[in-house]
Amino acid sequence: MRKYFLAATVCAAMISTIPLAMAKTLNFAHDLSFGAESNMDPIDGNRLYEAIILTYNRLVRPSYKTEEPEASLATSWSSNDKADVWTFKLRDGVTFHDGSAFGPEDVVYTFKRIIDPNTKSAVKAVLDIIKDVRAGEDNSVIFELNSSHADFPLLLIDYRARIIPEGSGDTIADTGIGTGPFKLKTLDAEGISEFVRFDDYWDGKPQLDGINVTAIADAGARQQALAAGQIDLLLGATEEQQNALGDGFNYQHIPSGAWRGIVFNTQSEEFKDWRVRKALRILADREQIIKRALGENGGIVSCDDPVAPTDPYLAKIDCPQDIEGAKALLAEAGHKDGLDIEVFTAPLDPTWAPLLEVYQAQAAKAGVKVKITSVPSDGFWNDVWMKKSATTTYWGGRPADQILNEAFRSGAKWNETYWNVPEFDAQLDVARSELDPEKRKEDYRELQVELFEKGGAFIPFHLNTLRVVAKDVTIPAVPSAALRWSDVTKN
Amino acid sequence: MLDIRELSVGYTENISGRKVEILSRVNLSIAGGETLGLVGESGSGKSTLGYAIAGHLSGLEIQNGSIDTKENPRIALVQQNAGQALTPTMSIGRQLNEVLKYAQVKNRTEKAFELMEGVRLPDPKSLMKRLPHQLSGGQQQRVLIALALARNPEILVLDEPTTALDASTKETLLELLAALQKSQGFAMLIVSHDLGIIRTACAETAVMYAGAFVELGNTEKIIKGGHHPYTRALVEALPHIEERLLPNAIEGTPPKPGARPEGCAFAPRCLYAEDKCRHAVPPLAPAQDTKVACFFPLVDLRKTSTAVPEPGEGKERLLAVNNISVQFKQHGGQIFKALDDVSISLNTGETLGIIGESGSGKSTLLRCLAGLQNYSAGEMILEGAEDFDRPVEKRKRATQRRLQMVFQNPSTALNPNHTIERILEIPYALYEPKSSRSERSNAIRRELDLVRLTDQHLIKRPRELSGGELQRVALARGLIARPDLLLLDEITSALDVSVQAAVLDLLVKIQRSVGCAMILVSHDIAVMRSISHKLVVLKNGRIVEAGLTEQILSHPKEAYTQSLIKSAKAITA
Amino acid sequence: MMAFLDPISYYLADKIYYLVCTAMFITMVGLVVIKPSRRLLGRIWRHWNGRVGLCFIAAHILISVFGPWLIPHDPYTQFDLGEIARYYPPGLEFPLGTDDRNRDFLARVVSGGRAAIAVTCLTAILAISWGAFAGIFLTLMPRWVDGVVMRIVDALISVPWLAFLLLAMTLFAGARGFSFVPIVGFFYSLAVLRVVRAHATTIVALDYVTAARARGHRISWIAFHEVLPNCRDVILVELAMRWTWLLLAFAVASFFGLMVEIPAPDWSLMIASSRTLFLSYPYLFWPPVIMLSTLVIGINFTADGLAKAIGLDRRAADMV
Ligand SMILES: Nc1ncnc2c1ncn2[C@@H]1O[C@H](COP(=O)(O)OP(=O)(O)OP(=O)(O)O)[C@@H](O)[C@H]1O
Ligand code: SF4
Ligand SMILES: [Mg+2]
Repeated sequence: MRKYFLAATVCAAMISTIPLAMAKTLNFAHDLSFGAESNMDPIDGNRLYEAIILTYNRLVRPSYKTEEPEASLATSWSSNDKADVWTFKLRDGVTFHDGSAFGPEDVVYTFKRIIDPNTKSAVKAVLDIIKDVRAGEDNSVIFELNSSHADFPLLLIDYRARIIPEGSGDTIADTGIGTGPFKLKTLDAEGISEFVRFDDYWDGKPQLDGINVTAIADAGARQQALAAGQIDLLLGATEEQQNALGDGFNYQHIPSGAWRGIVFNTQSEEFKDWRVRKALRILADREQIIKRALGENGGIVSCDDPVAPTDPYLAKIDCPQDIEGAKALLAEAGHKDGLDIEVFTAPLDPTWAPLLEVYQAQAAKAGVKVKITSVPSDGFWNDVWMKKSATTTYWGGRPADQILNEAFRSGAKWNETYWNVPEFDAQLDVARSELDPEKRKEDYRELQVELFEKGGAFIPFHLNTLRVVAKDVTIPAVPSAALRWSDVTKN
Repeated sequence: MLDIRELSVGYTENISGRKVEILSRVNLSIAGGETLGLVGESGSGKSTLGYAIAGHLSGLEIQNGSIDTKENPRIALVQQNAGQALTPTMSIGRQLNEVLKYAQVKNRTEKAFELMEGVRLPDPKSLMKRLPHQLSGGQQQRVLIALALARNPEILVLDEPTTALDASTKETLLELLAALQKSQGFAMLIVSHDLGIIRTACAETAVMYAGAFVELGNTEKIIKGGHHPYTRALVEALPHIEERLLPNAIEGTPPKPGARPEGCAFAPRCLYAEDKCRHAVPPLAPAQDTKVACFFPLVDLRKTSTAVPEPGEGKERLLAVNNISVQFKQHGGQIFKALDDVSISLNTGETLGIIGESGSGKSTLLRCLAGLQNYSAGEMILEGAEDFDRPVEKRKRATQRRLQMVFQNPSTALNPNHTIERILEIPYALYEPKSSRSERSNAIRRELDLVRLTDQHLIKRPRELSGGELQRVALARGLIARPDLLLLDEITSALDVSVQAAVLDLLVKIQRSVGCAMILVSHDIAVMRSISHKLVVLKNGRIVEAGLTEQILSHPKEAYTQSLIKSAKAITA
Repeated sequence: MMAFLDPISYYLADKIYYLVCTAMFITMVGLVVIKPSRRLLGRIWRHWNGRVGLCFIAAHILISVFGPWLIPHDPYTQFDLGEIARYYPPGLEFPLGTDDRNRDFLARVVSGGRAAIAVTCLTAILAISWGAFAGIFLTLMPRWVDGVVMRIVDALISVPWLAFLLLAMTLFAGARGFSFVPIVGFFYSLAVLRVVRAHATTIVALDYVTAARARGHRISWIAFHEVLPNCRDVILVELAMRWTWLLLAFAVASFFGLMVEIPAPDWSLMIASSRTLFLSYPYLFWPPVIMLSTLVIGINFTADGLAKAIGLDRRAADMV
């Protein structure tokens, strides 16, 4: 860890020596949460998120204003009546960074790679619905689904569903060749990764000359780098950081689908009783957690619901603090004299420690003694998360169907609560093939209520992302997954 | 060069604020090229005067009078206790180099060699690389003198410069000092309890007692006995080189600063004291051919020394050492023989003297016997002990007990952290592990009695005792084991003559009452003559001559022995 | 991979902390009452840094003894203060305001040194006892043993202890905050070993040690009865010095989130988390900084004064 800290300091020093002639280069940081193995493969578990959003495109992308999918590498799309065969018309004249032309074969290759049985990617769980993908006539591709899915284009918004050149699966981790606005120059996951403008970008020439993404593991160090002008923006910041940084920056509060929480393994000895899990969740005063751990505008209350507050499928659930109810449930489950639990965390995310401290104090009122155990950052995801029965977690925003499939379908790679309910899986299938929007909404609502009743994830809030931007940088106030980086400017 | 007027030096007590004098109203002057000797028992203030001149008055203050010198004189001080004055972890060469650097000498290596040769240190090249503890006591002393000479002093103060030196080295050293003084013209103050070297080196001598000069005059006159009762007692305490007689000790101890009696400070120990002496202080005034501070200066000579008893007949053999050799590997891999084919034998109740110049291997021989030093050839036999040829830790308790060792310097031979009681208890508890508390304390008291110390000393720590008392404690520590053989390494050379006389007397009495055999190492022929029955003369690790002391000293066969005796006589007679 | 004081060991830390404070208090009182030691204290006091050091330490003792009495709040309670969910401004009720979880910051500052002091004190004692023990024994061993061991020590001394701490914590999963004690204690003992050995070498060369050997005492007896008492001063100074360095080491480890478990108060954790508040809430930043630095300076300066009082050159001992 000290190594990273030093590396970050050295990098910071290096950045500060970059000559003024390159002032049109935007600098920002990543937190090194995937360690030294971070790479450019969009579907790899260790993909460098901050980099793949620069170099690749999806078929469809979220619109700036609505939840609707918008044209990207696909210009239009339609389905058959059953909604199990979809045709996407592709954009003409697009080229990859290496100069090769983009066409249906690349799309077919990308998705075949995702649904390949040998793929270990978590995104497979999301897109498993695809039975087959093939080139159609006239620069189009045709998706055949296993079952009907009325919102199939929404699934393709997934931030990992990025198109790579045909046959590049073995090299993509290093080359990073895509169709995006910036192309990879050097990749150094523990230092500075450099990206330069892609002049032939289909959506217009990017405004910036280049982007540098630097590894700075420590949140405080990132803040200091921003204050010193070594980086131009913080993708996520806290209220304290805003207070400390002061008026010299622009602040964007962006409601995000991202959430933080504590996940309990539903298969583990300690948490296999749903009453225990529910008790652990309803004892919380979520308003207070937001205020005390995040600050006044830090987030929006969630009733253990992974679905984003802006998502049309969000269920309306009420979840006031219920100490007595929690105690009663615990007593029923055989913990009359209270319960001791141990939650593992790491100094990786700035909201985890505050969340735990407030939760610990609240839990004490219901007779639950929470022991907080922190581990060094760089081993957390690999050695602790999904290995210990209770850990902290974080998730970025995803459409309702996707988050539910990705985090709660049995067998999903990131099913961190080991939620294994066949009826739940079946209901997921029913919901997505339901063509009637109202009924579909009801189906999704039931799933969310079920999670609130019996699930293993304690989700007290969805975060508002606080993006801190240097005054000379203009960047649309939209979630980073929706950002079109070619629009970003710097004076 | 140096002019001291009415100098009083002392300290102010912390709590009472009382001023305590260590030196009182000392007058003295030395011109360049002249040498003054200063004699007196330890604690009389000799060293303090030396330090005051050299300006090393740590914690003390000048309460009266003045020290006049020319401006910024270069004063060098050779301290007592060579072993402690050298830094133990720094090689000799480096220490010399540091001093020379400080004195801003250019060709330091050359100069260092020059100095080492100047003080007659053998093989300077290898000596420079050694650490102080790898040198013999005499060698250390000479290194110290070399260090002092490095600064080309104008005033040289030597505090007990020759304590650990043998007669011939002493002689050459004094010659060397005289030659240096002649060429460089420095004034010299030699502080010593050794009247021999004072006689050789100094024309004038001052006798000091309780911080004041009691007699000052021509050295020859003083050595003959002077006119002050104290001077006379000192002279009589000297061992005799010509006759086998025990020297006379001076009864009592000198008064401590702050506890000096009214009137004449010597009165409590003086054989001639009268009422007047206890009320008035006698001034230093000319009397006959010296200046004397006494109301009743002496005229005639008196001699009442006692003869040394011979060992009784029919003693059995105790120890035999047959042809042992000890080798040290030196830097560069050469082998150096510290002992070469040495044989000695000893009967019970006998005293064997080992004499030889510094570095001749005397201490090494004792270390072999004590099992502290491995030897490469030969054998050692102690009657009734099969494991005597092994190193000490492999010997049986009973064997360990039969052999006890007493060291030259009592201030480093006693753990400063222990009380005297503990120091004596440790060996007793070791050899009598089952003894009860009262047995232990009885034994301790018995030994204290034997060495003429009292119960009061038990709770004290070594730093609170005088050198003579410390050496008695060290002796008691050896005796409490009731050994068959006492190994005594230069045990009197760090002591005043008066104390030396008392310790020699004590050794004889102890031997008579306890009956143990002793091996006494010394470079002082007079000491040997007074108490040892047999004598071995060592040179460069080899035995030159061995036999009965009387025989060897009156009719030495070997040229080396003859020269030893000659230089010893030159220095004392 | 875990490196924490769990609640039980934090409780232990608290107890040890009180023991340490009581011991320091008794020592101080003892030094004033017992005459020969009063001289030592007086001698420390004579040097200005000794004076500053003693004052700082005395202040820390007073704060730790009387602080909890004077402050009505405990350091863990998160207060519900209506509108203000956190960062309640300083006032009568909360002299230093409340922190980011609305806890009484003064209470947290007063008790924020416990884990650090307890753990580092134990570590220092361990390092000193084992370093001094080994250092003294080496001087009594045959020369080749000494040579071999010192070569190993020299090699080990260049290993960065933090890396080793992390490694050890990975190897012994489940080891918690007190695992700092043996691991770091071991590394610091190497430096102690060198210093004590250097001093003991001069002692072992003296005649009273030879005398003990000649009498037939075992090496262990000689080490404890003849050599150790004469190394006491050096060991005392080493203890004080190593302790300050250990406090800093603890702070570093804490800063990286390796030592004290949230929500326990700890100065270094407070500093780490309030780094970003430095401009907006300076009163949350400075108190732990002042507490930590005065403690470190206090012990360090006292060690300085002690070293001067007993005539040791502190430069001789290098920092690990
Ligand atoms: N450990 C050692 N390594 C190398 N040489 C040594 C060592 N110990 C003693 N010597 C050398 O052995 C010789 C004899 O030393 P020893 O101490 O026996 O002399 P000594 O006759 O007692 O002299 P002194 O009268 O000065 O005490 C000296 O030359 C000394 O330098
Ligand atoms: S003055 Fe009296 S007591 Fe003093 S030395 Fe002369 S005779 Fe003895
Ligand atoms: Mg000797």
